[in-house]
Amino acid sequence: MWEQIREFFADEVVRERSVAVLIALVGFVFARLISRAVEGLVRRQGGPQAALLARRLSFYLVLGVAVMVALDRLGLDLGVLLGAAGVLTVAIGFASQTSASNVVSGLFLMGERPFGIGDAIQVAGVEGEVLSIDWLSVKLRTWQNTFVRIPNETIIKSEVINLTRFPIRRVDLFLDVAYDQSLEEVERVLLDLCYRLEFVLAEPAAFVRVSEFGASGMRVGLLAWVQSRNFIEHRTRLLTEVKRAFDSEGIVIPFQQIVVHQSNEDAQPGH
Amino acid sequence: MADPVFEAIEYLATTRVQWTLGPLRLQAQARPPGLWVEARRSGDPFDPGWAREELSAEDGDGDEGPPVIFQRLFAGFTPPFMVNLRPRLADRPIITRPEMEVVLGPGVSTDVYLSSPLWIEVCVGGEALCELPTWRASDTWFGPDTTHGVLGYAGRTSLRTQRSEVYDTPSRVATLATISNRQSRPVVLDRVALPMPNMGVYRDRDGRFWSDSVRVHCLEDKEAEVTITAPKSAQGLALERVGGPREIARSDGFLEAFSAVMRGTS
Repeated sequence: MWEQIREFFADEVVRERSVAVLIALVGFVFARLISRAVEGLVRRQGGPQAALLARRLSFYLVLGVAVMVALDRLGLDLGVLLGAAGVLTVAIGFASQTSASNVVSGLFLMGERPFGIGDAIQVAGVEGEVLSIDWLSVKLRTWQNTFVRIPNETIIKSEVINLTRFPIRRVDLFLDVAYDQSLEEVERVLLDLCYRLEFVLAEPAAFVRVSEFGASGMRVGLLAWVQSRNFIEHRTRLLTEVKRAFDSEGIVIPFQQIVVHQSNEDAQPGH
Repeated sequence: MADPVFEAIEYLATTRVQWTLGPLRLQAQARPPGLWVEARRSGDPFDPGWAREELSAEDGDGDEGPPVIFQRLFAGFTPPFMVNLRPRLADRPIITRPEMEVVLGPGVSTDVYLSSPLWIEVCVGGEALCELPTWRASDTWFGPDTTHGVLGYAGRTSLRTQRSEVYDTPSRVATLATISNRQSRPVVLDRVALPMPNMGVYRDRDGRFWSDSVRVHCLEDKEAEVTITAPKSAQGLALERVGGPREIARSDGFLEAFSAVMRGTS
C-alpha cells in the first residue's frame, strides 16, 4: 500500500498538483482564521457591518493569494492570466454598470454609516430592521416579517430615516376637542396622564399645544417623549390611555358634523 | 440583621409565601414544573408595609387588590428547594430633581439625603430568577440634549439634610450625597444623577437600606464629577453590606460626566 502511494507521488506532475491543492486548502483555512481575527479587531472599533465587510475582504484577499500561488505551482503563467482577467474585467465592467454603482454606493454607505445592523429604518417606502449591509444591497426585515432587498444605489439616492438612532423619540398625538371644552382642563388631564404613565419620560417634559381651530373642534397636540425601543407600543398605549382619561373626565372628542341653518322666509308655509 | 423577609425558605410541594415589600406584594408558589411568581403593586410609593406571610392552599388567589404587574412560571425546580429574596439597587441611574430651586454659593458644600426605591431579587438555590422594583418610577432622560445622555428613573426630592428626615420605610434606599460647588460663582442645582448600578447596598440596625455615598463636585471646567464612597462612618450607623454593585465603576473612582446639571444664577 505504502509502495503504491510512493509510486503515485513519484510522478512529478501528480506531486506538483498535490502541492498546489494543499496550498489552496491551507490558504482556505488560513483565510478563515485571518478573516475572523480581522473581524474581531474591526468589530471593536467600527461596529458589526464594518466587521462583516473586513472579514469578507480579508478572506477573499488571502484566499486569492493562495489560489494564485497554487496556480503558479501548477505552471500557469500568471501574467497571461492577469492579462485575461484585465480584459475580462473591462468586459464585465461594461456589462455590470448597475452592480458597480451599487458597490460604490455600498462603500459610501459603510463610510457614512447612516444606520447599522439592527437599526430600524424607513427608506424608499419600506420600514424595517436592518439585517445586513452588503456590497450590492441592504437587507431588511419588515414589521410584517417579509424580507426586502434594497439596492445600495437606491438608498444613496433616497431619503433614509433612522428610527432608532437616538434612544428617545417624541410621540406627537393630535386630537380634536369640542369648542365648549376648557383648554386648561384638557391640558391638565393630558399632563396628569403623562405624569402617571411610567413609560412617558419625565424629562424632556411632555407638553400640550393648540395647533388649529378645525371644522368640528379645536386641534390639540400632546407631545410626549418615550424610549425609541417599543415606540409603536408606547404610542398605542398612550392613545388608549388618552381615550380612557377623556372618557372618565367627560371630555368629548367631536366627530365631523355640519350645522344647517334654515332661514325664516324659507320656513314659512305657502311660499 | 435578622429579617424574616430575607430569610431562605424551604419550598415543599404546597408551599406558598407572600411578601409585602412597601408597595410591592410578591407571591411565590411551588407549582409543577417549578416556581410560580406573581407580583402586584399598590399606588403608594411610600407604603410602609414590610412582612412575610406563609399562605395555605385554602387562601384565595387574591384576585382582589392591586393590579398584577408580573406573572411567570420558572420551570425546572422540583421541591424541596430553597427560595430567598435579595435586596438590590436600581438598574439605571436615579435622576433626582429638587422640588424647589437650590442655590449653592461658591465654595459651599452641603450634605443631602436622597431616596430611591429598593429592588428585590427572587433567588432559588442562591441563583437569581428575576428582579422587581418595589416601586416603578417614571423613565427619564439625563443629558445635555436629546441625542446624548442616559436613560434613568425620575425622582424628586426636597433635599433633606437630616438623617432623621429620610423616609422611614424599608422599601426605600437612602443615599447621602455631598454636593460641593467648587466654582467661583453661585450655581443652581437642577438635577443630580445617582449612579445606582455602580453602588453597593447596606442595611442599618433599624432595618433601613442605604447605598454607597456620593460626592458631587461642581467644577469650573466641567459640568460635574461624582465619586462613590462607602457610607460615611461619621453617620454613626452600624451598616452591614448586603449587596454589591451591578457594574464596577472605573478604577479611578470617577464617573464620566452627567453627574449633575447646574446653571449659573441670574
